Amino acid sequence: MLLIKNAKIYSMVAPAIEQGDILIENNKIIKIGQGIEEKKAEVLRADGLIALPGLVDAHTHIGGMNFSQPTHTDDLNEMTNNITPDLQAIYGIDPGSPDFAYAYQNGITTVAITPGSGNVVAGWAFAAKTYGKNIFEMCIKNPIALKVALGGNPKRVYGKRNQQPSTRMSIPVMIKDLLSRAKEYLEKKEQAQRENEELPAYDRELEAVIPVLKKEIPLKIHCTQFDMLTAIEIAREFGLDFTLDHAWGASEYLEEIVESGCKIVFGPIGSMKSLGEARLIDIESVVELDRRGVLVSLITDAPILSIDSLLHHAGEAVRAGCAVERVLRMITINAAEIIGVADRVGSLEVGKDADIVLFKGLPAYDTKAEVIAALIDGKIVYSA
Amino acid sequence: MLVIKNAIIHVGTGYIKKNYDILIKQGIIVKIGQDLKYNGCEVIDASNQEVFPGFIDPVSSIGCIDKTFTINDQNETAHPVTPDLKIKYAFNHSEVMFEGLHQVGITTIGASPGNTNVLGGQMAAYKTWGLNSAKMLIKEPVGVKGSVSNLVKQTYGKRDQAPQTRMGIFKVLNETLAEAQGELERGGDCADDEKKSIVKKILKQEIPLFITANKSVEIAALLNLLKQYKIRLVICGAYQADRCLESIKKMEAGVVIGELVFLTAKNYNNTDLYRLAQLQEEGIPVSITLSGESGPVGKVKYIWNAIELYKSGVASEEVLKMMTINPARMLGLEDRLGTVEVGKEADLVIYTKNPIKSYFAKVSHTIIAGKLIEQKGGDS
Repeated sequence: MLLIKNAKIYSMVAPAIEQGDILIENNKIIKIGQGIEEKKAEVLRADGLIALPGLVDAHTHIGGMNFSQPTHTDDLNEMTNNITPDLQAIYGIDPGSPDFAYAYQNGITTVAITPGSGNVVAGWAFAAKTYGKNIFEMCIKNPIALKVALGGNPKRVYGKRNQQPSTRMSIPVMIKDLLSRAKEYLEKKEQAQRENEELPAYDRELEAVIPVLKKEIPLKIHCTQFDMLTAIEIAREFGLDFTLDHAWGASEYLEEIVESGCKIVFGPIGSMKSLGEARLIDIESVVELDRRGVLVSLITDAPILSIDSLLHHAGEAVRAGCAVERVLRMITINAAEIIGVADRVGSLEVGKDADIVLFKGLPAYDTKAEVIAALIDGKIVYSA
Repeated sequence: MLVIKNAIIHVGTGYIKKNYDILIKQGIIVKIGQDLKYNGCEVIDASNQEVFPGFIDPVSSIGCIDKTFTINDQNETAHPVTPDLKIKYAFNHSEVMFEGLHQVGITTIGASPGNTNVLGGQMAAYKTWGLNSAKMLIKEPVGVKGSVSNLVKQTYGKRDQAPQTRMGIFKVLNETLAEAQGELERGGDCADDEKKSIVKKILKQEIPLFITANKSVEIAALLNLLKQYKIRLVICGAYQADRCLESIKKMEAGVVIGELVFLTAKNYNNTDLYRLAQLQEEGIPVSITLSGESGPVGKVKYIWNAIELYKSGVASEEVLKMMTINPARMLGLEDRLGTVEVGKEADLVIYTKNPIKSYFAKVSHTIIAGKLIEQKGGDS
């Protein structure tokens, strides 16, 4: 047993507890409150520190991409076929990548890792803890979403080969085609099961789409600016859950986003701007989305931006006018809910995994806020 | 006339003045004092706000490049040695990346060629606000920009042209400098083309040389080669310069630390920012920039890079020097810009708090050449 004593606890589910304690047994939180005593527990003093749930980044590529020379790798864009729903990001991940250490050393204990955006339908994303040697053991849930990419990336990849999609017009056609075939396949399968008939021939690609049709996982849609309308239309037509990932320009689509019921995975920011996809990179949109009740998370797209810049992103949301407590949710509980792992992580509650970060200074406000200790599954994986 | 009342002034030299007024006349700071008397001035009440010298990015291709790389006017890849080219012919002040730099407080950039050429061309300093680039121009040329980074090898090597290796890069750099140096030493009249005459200006220390060198091998090789010449050197990128501090001090080279967040550059290079910043104690100017290995990034990262230095343990006024007076020195503009002092041009940014220390800091005003710039909605 481990007892964290005397921290200011931001649990994300209740008001901050001054001088609070957290008791951990095995890998779970078993008690939170003031004045907890437990003789059998090892004590971790946290005087003057802030305890937060381990931070969550809902959209990364760590362990599967590295675009810096000379260690260039990309195991998350299989750009040989533009529709690949049955690819799984987890098979592209090297847990030995230093990005995992940069993550937990900076308080990020859970990440979603997703295929890239080179394909229109790119495959399954999964969620993992950031500490460990075996990605299959680090994995919390697979799949958490089916990744789909609108806009420039698949267009550039396939267009220059004179293949579809070479325009934005093709992209919804291709996605809807896959979803229609999967829907038909699922209906045939269910009918066959009902009537005890022979099942249709097993189709690995369409099988990979079924969890989306059954709303067990959302579509994770890479899109920005006016592509958001395309995303919303597709999801509505098939009655799907979905997230808009990146979502630059969201401030011009607030009503449509709210009405669609989707969730927003916003970022990264500080990117190169250009007319078209990167015209408006509006972190200020998360303030208004949050106010209107949309579930919003902030992301780094690491290693495109360094994973530790999650705190810079949170800081910019504060600068844009969001309350610190609201912004902290965007990198903890909101992100956990969006990637479907809030039963395990994202808040400090009895029964949840003991993923806890002790900060000196208030992250997202104080630029010097520093991780003093990071715990994953009750184990101290980093201490300053 | 414009007066900024009752501000906390970060001078840029390491000093802070509390509750001071700044009087600006015809674009120049004419008086700094307490309870200044003034008449008929536009007044900014800056009580509890913090005034900084406008920030400077000394090396940037912003304005010459776009995200889709369809413009790419910063790299002339026909030949690796093009010191005669001038960035001013490529600089588009209305390019979308350039717009709004003043919203984070950047008031000057050193527009510069990119990283594909050993000597890429001549830099120009611009203010970040104005009707057109002629009106925004501060000084030209302010330096010659070159590179000994991997990008040079990639650009020419893949065509089986020299330089294909690091050896090749340093051969090209050395022969270009040696030829001009030889002519200088022999004296007499040589028919100079523009290429040679600009290289001679570098060798006569009339113009600084900005060279991108990211890795320690590149930096060490650069310093070893250049020690036989007298050159005002500024090393750009410099992600592993913390491993070459002694030779940097000997050369008295300036250091522009490349952008740290994009493509996880700081982490992958194990950059020791605190160690690098110690160069300032030896009088070596260190600066920050939005430019990374593959080009410039969005403006908020300028502040993030300052924060990275502060987080590493560098005092905030020391970080501020890297954003103001140091880049001004590198560009030869320290008599005009880089501090809040009488006689300097009134390029100022006013924040509600110190953005190096708190994310809860917003720009309330940016002033360029004494003129209050209208703040549009702040996209990042």
